[in-house]
Amino acid sequence: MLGEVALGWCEAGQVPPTGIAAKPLAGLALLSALAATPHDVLTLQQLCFDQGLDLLPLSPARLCPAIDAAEQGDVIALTSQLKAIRGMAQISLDLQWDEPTDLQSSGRDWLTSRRKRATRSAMAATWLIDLARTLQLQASPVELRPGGAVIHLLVRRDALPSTETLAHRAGPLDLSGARLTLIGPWPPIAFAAAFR
Amino acid sequence: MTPLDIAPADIQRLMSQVAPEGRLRLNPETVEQDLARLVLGLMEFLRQLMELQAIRQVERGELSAEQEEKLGLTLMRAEAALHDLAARFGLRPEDLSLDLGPLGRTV
Repeated sequence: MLGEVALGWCEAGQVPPTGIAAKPLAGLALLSALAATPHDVLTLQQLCFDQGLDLLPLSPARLCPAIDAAEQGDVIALTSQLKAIRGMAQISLDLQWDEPTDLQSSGRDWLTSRRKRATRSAMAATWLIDLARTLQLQASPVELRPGGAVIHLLVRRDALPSTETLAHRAGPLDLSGARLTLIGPWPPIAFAAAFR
Repeated sequence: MTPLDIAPADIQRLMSQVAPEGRLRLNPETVEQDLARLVLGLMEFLRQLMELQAIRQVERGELSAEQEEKLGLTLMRAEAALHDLAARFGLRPEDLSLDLGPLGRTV
C-alpha cells in the first residue's frame, strides 16, 4: 500500500476528477490520491489527463517529498514546465522486430543472433530519431529494447498523428518485418523528468 | 579478451540513479523482491555490457572460433541463470531493467 501519493502538478483552478485532491501551493495545485501500487498511480494520472487536465506527472512518491521539493525548488521553473505542456500529450512509438523463438544451442549462433538483435535496435533508434526530426517534434532520448527501440514524442492533444501518418512522413525506409506501434496519448511522463 | 572499459565515474552515476541521495526506497512487504530486483538488475546490466563487448570483438575479428563459442555459451548460460533466479523471486526478465534517469533504461 503506497498510501496518499502525489500524482503531479497542474495550474491552480483546474478541477480534478472525483477522489483526487488538489492542494494549492505556490500558485499551483498538487494533485494527490490514495493508491495501492505504482500502476494505480499511473491509472489516476491517466484519468486526470483524459478529463482534460494539463498534468505535469510525478513518479510514484510520498506526498511530503513532493511538497518539500516545491518549497525548496524553483517554482518559476515548475510554472514554466507546466506552460510548456499545456495542451500537449505524449505518444510513444515502439518499433520492433519479432524475436526468433528458437533456442540456440551453440555459443557462436547465440552471439550471431545477439549481434543481429543489436543491429536492429540501432536501426530502429536511428529511424525513430530521424522521424522525430522530420516531424520537428520534441522527443525523449530513444530507449533501446531487444530487437527494437522506443521513443516518446510531445504532440498537441488536438492534432494527434496516426501510425500511418507517421510511417508515411518517415519516408521510404526498409523496415520489412518490423512492427510500428503507437501507444498513447499519455500525460507527458517522459518530459517531466526534472520534477520526478 | 580486453577488460570492460567502465570509468569509476560511470559506476558512481549508475549507483546515484539506482539509489538517489544514497538511500534505497524499499517496501517492507516486498523487501526481498525489491532487493532481488536491484541486485539481479545490476548483474544483468553487467552481463549486457559484456554481451556488447563480445559483439564488438566478434565484429572486429578479434576472437577465434573457439573463443567465440566459449564466450557465447558463457553469456547465454549466464542469462538463463539470471532469469531463473529472477523467476524464483517472481520477477520477469523485463523487471530487471533499471531506470538510469537521464541515461535511459538498461535493455
